[in-house]
Amino acid sequence: MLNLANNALFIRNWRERMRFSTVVSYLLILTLLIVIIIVNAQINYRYSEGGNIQGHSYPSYSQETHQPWYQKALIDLCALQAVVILLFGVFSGYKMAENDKINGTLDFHRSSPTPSYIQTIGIVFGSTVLEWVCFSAIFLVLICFSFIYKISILAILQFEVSLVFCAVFYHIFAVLIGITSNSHDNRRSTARAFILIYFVSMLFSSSNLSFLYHMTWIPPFEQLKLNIGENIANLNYRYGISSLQLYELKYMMFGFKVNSLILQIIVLIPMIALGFEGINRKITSSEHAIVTKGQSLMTLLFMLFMFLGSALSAVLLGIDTLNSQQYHSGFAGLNILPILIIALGILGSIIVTPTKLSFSKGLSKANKSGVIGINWEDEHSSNCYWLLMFCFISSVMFIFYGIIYKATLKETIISLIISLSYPVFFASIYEWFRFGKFYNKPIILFCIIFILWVIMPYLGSIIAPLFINMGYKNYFLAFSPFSGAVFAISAIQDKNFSIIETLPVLQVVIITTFAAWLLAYVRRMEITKDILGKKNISNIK
Amino acid sequence: MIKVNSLRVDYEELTAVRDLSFEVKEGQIYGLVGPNGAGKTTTIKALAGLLEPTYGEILINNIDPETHPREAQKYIGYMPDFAPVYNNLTAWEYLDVFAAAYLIEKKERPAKIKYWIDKVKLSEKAKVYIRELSRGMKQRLVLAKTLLPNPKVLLLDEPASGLDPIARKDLRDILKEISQDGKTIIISSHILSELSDFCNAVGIMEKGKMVVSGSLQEIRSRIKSKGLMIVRLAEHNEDQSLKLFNILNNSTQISGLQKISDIEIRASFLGDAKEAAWLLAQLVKQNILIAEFNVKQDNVEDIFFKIGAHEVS
Ligand SMILES: Nc1ncnc2c1ncn2[C@@H]1O[C@H](COP(=O)(O)OP(=O)(O)OP(=O)(O)O)[C@@H](O)[C@H]1O
Ligand SMILES: [Mg+2]
Repeated sequence: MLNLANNALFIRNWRERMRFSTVVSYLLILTLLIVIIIVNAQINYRYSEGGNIQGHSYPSYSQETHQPWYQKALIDLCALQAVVILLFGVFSGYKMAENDKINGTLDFHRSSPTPSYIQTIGIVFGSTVLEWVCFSAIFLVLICFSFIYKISILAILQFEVSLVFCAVFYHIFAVLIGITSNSHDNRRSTARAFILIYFVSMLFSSSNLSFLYHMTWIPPFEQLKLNIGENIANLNYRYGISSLQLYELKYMMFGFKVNSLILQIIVLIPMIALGFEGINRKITSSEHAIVTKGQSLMTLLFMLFMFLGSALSAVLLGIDTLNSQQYHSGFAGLNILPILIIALGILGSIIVTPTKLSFSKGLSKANKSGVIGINWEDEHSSNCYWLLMFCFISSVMFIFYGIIYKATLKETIISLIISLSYPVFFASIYEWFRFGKFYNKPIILFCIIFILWVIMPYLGSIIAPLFINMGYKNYFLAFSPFSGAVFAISAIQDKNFSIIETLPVLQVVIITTFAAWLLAYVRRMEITKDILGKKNISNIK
Repeated sequence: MIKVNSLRVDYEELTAVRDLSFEVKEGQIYGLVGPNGAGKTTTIKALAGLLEPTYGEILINNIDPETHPREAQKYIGYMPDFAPVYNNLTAWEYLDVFAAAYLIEKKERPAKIKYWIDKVKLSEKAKVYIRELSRGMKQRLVLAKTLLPNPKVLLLDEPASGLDPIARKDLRDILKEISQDGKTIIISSHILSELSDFCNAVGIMEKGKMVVSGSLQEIRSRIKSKGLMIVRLAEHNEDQSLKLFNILNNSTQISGLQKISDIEIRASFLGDAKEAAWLLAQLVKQNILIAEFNVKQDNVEDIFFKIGAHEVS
């Protein structure tokens, strides 16, 4: 399996990236950077020992500069390593994969007898091979450091292992974006890929939810600094965390304090497997969706389960109850289950909804093999059973969530209905659109969604003052998942949130969702009748 | 070897191939002919397992590439209509990469690469970066890549485009040679005269449908292909000329008799070579002095134009 010398895609990348001159110049630059880092650390160390030369006082830095220079150098070297393997690695992973795809050479590999998982290994590790070489070079320097200056080798090893997991995770997603790109406009799509990857990881790193936090590269650093002797107060200062408890929360699961490395492995391995499988599927057939319906549900289950783990920890730590307003700030708060469900549902339905062509293909294939309908797990199948499963999983998790926060059943159910209605609405409208005549004009769908989600609530806020009863405003606001999420959160946490306010919301979401579902249903039936009504399917236009 | 049954391939917007059925036997060279946009590339891609058919059945050596892709790929060598290459590798390295992709052991690779790189006349350029090769050279390199793993079935999409006349002849020779080893070849081309002298079967496609498919003889008889018969006398002689006219006129195989000059007659001839020989024997028996006796059969190109002009029902 790891016979890389016989792995075609690995050989390709290796040959292209490991030219003697390239490697030498990379290593020269790297050596230069390492020297600069060490010299810089030594100078700063002497400077701070000499006292406040300019007469300024740096109360907050004084603590930091008490660490010996080699510690600072070590941390900077680790940062260099992270930049090389994460930033440059992601860049070349994406670049090399996209190059293979757009050149058409990937088709040669796909039409070769090499098993697709071997191709996946080849492309993931081959495209980043030069970064791994640099990574190893820095690793050697770090090991030397730890021997010379008696720094705990375990601390360094933990950091390295963490970083390796992180890097593989990011590389896999970079390669995945690369081999799904169709655009010949390289510069723009590259920029898009990077903005996506880094925006998402920044968002995650600011989260208090341990499983999102551990998908980023920050925990390895935090642990490294703690392990080589920095104190938590310093960390708190640096990351602007005011409470030690919030810091603890990031390393907890279901109330247990978990070692950062283990937590990272628990979180990253399923994600790595998912990404790996995605590349595998794309190599097997470029027309496949990245994940199957079953895999997307498993991911959902995993995400929500981990979320519950964080929520439970928060309650046990006593820093979050549904009725306290203290930590409910946006994405950093823990009351975001409704938001999570709406976002994951919409994202998932975009991935699993087939096109009309794909749906017809599935139908005619099923018909050929004598089955009436398509298996719901099949990627050609409509998203309606997927939605059902989605609602089921979400509901179970939601009920646990309600129990953890001691919400009443009524509150939980109202909040659940509001939260689920948006993904169901979107998935149905999306399928209705994809199965229709204008599937190749996404601008139309965008307009529909824009009117419902942005214009309607805006209209509501304009005309609301005309009514004495401000509750009417909610009729308009309820169209949008953005305000919908707020309603859902209020419904479960806010004791003052009255039934009069939820009633219009419930009415609107139920009616619109049902209408969308009906639209999708009718269209699905039309296509099914059209396909199954014909004898010779190969002749249908 | 290759069997295609009611194949239909859709793109999002249109049906590129519909209700396509044909069969290629082992050792055959099958020419896929058709105007631009007929669906040749689409068909070949579906055969190579790169496009999922909407409907229908493909069997390669009795394996369905859709359900057993890796099994089927062992038999297939695919060459697309453009030459996908790695610009930053040398020609040798490129071949090495794909030799590995076709699971050739590391020890065996150099010898095979050397053999094929010589065969496509690129040995001088073996150590040159591919970005520095000309278009035709890239095409030849991709051909070498396709032939190197020694696949049983070759799917070649316009392999001759971009090649100079000498390279074309080389290509033809290589293909003839490997088809003698029992390889099955599907080749699509616009340059029909190229196909006609070494394909033993053709399929003519138009707008995603197969118009005719089969061996050249079959197609000729199917579309009632008429040969042009030219008979020229050695000298002007009223008596012989009359005799000749009568004999030809009485033959059932001949129609549209035309006197071009005193010594030359042309006619449409429906028979095959044997019937033509028999006719000639008759003429000789009557002591008619023949200077030229020639029956020209339609070649693929003529057939193609006839199909374009909807002469085929
Ligand atoms: N990727 C694609 N997406 C959508 N339509 C396509 C795609 N590729 C080809 N088509 C359409 O499918 C039809 C058949 O195309 P195909 O490339 O198979 O023709 P061809 O016979 O190979 O033509 P040529 O002789 O020009 O190579 C054409 O109408 C073309 O517009
Ligand atoms: Mg073509």
